[in-house]
Amino acid sequence: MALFLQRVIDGIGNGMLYGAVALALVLIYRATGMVNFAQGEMAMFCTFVTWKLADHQFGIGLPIVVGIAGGVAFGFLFGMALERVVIRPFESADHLRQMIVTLGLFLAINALAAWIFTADTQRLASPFPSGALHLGGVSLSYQELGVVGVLLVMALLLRELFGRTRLGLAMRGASMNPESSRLLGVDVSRMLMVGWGLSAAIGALAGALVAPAVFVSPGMMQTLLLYGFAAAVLGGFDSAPGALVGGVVVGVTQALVSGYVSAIGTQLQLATAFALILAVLLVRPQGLFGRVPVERV
Amino acid sequence: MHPRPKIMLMAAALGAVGLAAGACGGGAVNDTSGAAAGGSGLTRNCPDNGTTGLTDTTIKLGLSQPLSGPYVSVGGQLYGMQAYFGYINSQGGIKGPDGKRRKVELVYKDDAYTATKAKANVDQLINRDKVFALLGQFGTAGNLAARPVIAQQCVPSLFATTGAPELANPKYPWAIAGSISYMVEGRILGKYVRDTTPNATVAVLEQDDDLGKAYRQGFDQAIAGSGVKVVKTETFEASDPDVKNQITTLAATKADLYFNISSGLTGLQALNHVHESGWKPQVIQVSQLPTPLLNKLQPGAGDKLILGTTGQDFTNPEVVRNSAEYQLYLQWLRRTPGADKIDPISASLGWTQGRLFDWTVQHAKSMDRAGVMESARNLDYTGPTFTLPGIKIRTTPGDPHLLEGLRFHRFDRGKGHLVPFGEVIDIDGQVKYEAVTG
Amino acid sequence: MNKTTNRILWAVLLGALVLAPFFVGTVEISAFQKVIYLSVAVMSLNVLTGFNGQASIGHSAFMGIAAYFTALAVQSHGWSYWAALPASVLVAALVGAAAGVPALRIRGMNLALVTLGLAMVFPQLPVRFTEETGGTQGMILDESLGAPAFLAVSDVAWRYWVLLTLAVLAFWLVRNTRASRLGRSIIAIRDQPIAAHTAGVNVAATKISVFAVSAGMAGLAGWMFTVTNQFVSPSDFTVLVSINLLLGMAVGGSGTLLGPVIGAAFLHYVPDAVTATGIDPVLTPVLYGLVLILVVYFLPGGAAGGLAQLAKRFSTARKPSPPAGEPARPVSQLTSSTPNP
Repeated sequence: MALFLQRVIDGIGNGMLYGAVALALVLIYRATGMVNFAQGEMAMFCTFVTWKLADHQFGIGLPIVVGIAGGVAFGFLFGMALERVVIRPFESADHLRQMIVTLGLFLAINALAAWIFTADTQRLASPFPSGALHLGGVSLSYQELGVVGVLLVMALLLRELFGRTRLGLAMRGASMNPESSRLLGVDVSRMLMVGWGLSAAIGALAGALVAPAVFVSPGMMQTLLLYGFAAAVLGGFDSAPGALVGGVVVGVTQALVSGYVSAIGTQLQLATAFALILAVLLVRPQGLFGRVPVERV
Repeated sequence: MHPRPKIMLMAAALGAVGLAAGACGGGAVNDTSGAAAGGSGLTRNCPDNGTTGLTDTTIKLGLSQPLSGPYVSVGGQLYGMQAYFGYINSQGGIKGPDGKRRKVELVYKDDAYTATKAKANVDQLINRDKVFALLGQFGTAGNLAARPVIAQQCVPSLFATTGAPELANPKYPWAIAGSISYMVEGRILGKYVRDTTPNATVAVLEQDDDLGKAYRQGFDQAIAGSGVKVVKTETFEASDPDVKNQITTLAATKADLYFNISSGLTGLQALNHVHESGWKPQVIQVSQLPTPLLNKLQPGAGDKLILGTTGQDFTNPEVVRNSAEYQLYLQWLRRTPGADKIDPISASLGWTQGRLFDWTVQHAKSMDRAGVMESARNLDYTGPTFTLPGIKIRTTPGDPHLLEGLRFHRFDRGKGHLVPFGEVIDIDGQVKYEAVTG
Repeated sequence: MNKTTNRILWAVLLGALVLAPFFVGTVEISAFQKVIYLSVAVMSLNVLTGFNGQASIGHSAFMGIAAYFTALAVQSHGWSYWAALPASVLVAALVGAAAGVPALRIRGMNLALVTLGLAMVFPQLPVRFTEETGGTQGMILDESLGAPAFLAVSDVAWRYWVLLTLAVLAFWLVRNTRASRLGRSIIAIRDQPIAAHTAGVNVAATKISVFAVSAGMAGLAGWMFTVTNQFVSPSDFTVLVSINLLLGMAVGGSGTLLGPVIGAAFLHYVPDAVTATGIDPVLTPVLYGLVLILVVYFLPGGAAGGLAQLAKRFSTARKPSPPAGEPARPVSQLTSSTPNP
């Protein structure tokens, strides 16, 4: 029983990492209507900035919380700059061309990070204490608890942003119906720019949260990406709390399947995520929480 | 759609003309080098006399290794090698058995750690760049993929950067590994466990590939017939973002020992998770986790860790101070363009490979490929080295394993380096080639 | 550029390619073989994405399936390469058709996601079945596709000619299909799905067949891969390979026969060229990414489209050039903007 509980807890812990990636994907989708394949790489790049600010050996050695704040601020500017310079010319292009452009960003940002910073694996300090809480044969690390807390707050804030605030509504309008938004006096391009900035900032935060577990390296987000997509698809691609729940579903499924289904074992964990994506898109394309069908041609 | 058949006809006609003309041409059509089969004797079926890549004053070497892509960080050896050749060229070059000194010209290519690209690179290095030999060829898959090319053309591939037991296969005498065989290391770790904790239970995390299987096979052989028992094995893939699930399963066994057959990032994750799980086993770590990485563990996670290494630990400033060879290396590395971006410790491997090549050429009976290969298979190196004292650097025609010894170390997180204990365990001469059966 | 010059150009190019093994060495011929299979792979993606408007980041998987099928059939089951050729193409086509079924419901970005998943999962399969496939170390084939004895030519040249012939056939097939009724339906589905439906095109069947044909052609490239390299490993079929194929398609331009060849040559020769210039090879992907973005922006028809545009501008007298900043409408677009239903 303790083992089963521990597996569920592991699943939630891993699921939160996927949820963190999914949050950034969802945000950019809601704000711009795009699926950004470079999201993970942008987050990785910002995490390197955080590392450079906070690391004692290779960086400036600022306190980790300050480093994260710096990384998030950098992420916001970085995202806005990318939108202005690279994405804006493709604002009204079709999805295929947008996809190719974000894949181009994926390649470029990844290699630039290796060149500017380092290709070596680096450690990023955690803002949470190390060690774990041991409760009746089950262990819960403080790191995981902290991540869960921060992400829940983030998800709720995002929901407020898109549901209640003027800015959020304007962003949604700009992405869903740019023509009418323009007529209503919304600066669509600026909204998209803010959307990219915000999602890159969330990505920077997500990167800093997952880094103590997966370390900092140019490849750090790539193994998480498919799981992040699975979480986002499961959550409906337009719901922030849904992304987190989706992440947890993916994480727990994966933990239980790899723990108890020996035919899949630990070798085909990616296949589990893939199967989830496929099943959700076929059976319930709006995901568990999506209100509108996300299917776009 | 009418023009196409016409074009095909024209092309066919051109082709026929070409076939007629080709009888006297010098292109790929007449190049039958591909027909020669890889022989077992050194010079049987070799296409030439084995002096390609040599002049009276130069010797051309080739290397294919990752210089881009996700594994680029392992590519430092190139700079270490360039540092050595910079040094030796400044001394007039490598002295051959014919008394001539030759400066080394190193041709390197990027394979992004893709085996197919490595094979294509080796093909180009041998057939287009006309290198004399390959040095420090990187990675298990790349070495195996390129092996048929090497065998066909009888080109020495010396001190390859891999510990795959397959490199010792007597069917392919033209390649020799530079790192300790994973299987040999596994066997020495197993011997240590058997000698120190004869009734221990062991839980194993194993990389799901030939590296993992080779370590495991050596370990299992060493503990066979003793009271040491493996109670649980979990595997992982390079694509797994985290190995937490596996560690939870292993921790549930509460075994006495944890055998961590994982390298790099995954190795670190695993050790951190073991620490968090509350399970407090003695950790046996494979040497694929170098000290700079161990320093990135959570505080406490490396406390009960031991590992065996062949090399001195240059993260320890005292070791650096006491090694004249390392000082010389650093001095030449600083003069190597591009080396400022790499970690000198991991790049030192390239310097070692340069040293070994130098020695091999000096001790060859004849200055040609067969002579140099023969020399690499009869090596007894006693020159300056980064290897720990007491570990033999030796090969014989029947035992191509260069290194077969380890010294055990504890990891001291406070000081940030390894602390040796016990004696060197060297099983030189006791190892035969054995395929990984997994 | 009129039709006759076009034909003469093609004949000269093909003639030069056919004769190449008489004049250049084995290393160059092996490199040509790689460009050939990459061209076929880029063309296969082009059939699905360029003509039918469906995105795929999964073509590395279709290629890999056929490459591994061939390797296993030849190495472990004693097949000849020739027997493995139709079988491996068929297997890839079947997997492609199966992937096409969900594509009826899943479209646009979501389809891209599914194919991304396919590409990420595929390299795991050989590792899962390490006993049979050699796992991460890959699998060396002892047999090679040798020249028949009576021809008295080297094996390398023979393999090159085999690949060249098959590639020409495949390209010829694509060209003919595009001009056929089926081809027009395929393009109609891309541009006007609803109109195509009302005009009596069986959208579902057509889409699945396009998937099957595209994957089968990627499978042909996979067979060629194994023939060329006599080696397969999981790292040869990662998602990066799929992204590179998209890059090749974008660079070369999707509408023409020449586009995939230009794209493939780019993919093969640029990395070595970068290393040769002394630029840190770490930066090669940066170059790739920038080229990808710039090409999609300035040259939506790719290099081949750009060439055609240029030729047109020279042959037709002084027409006003398109306004600056607005990319010229290409002869055949990489992607056409699909109207929302």
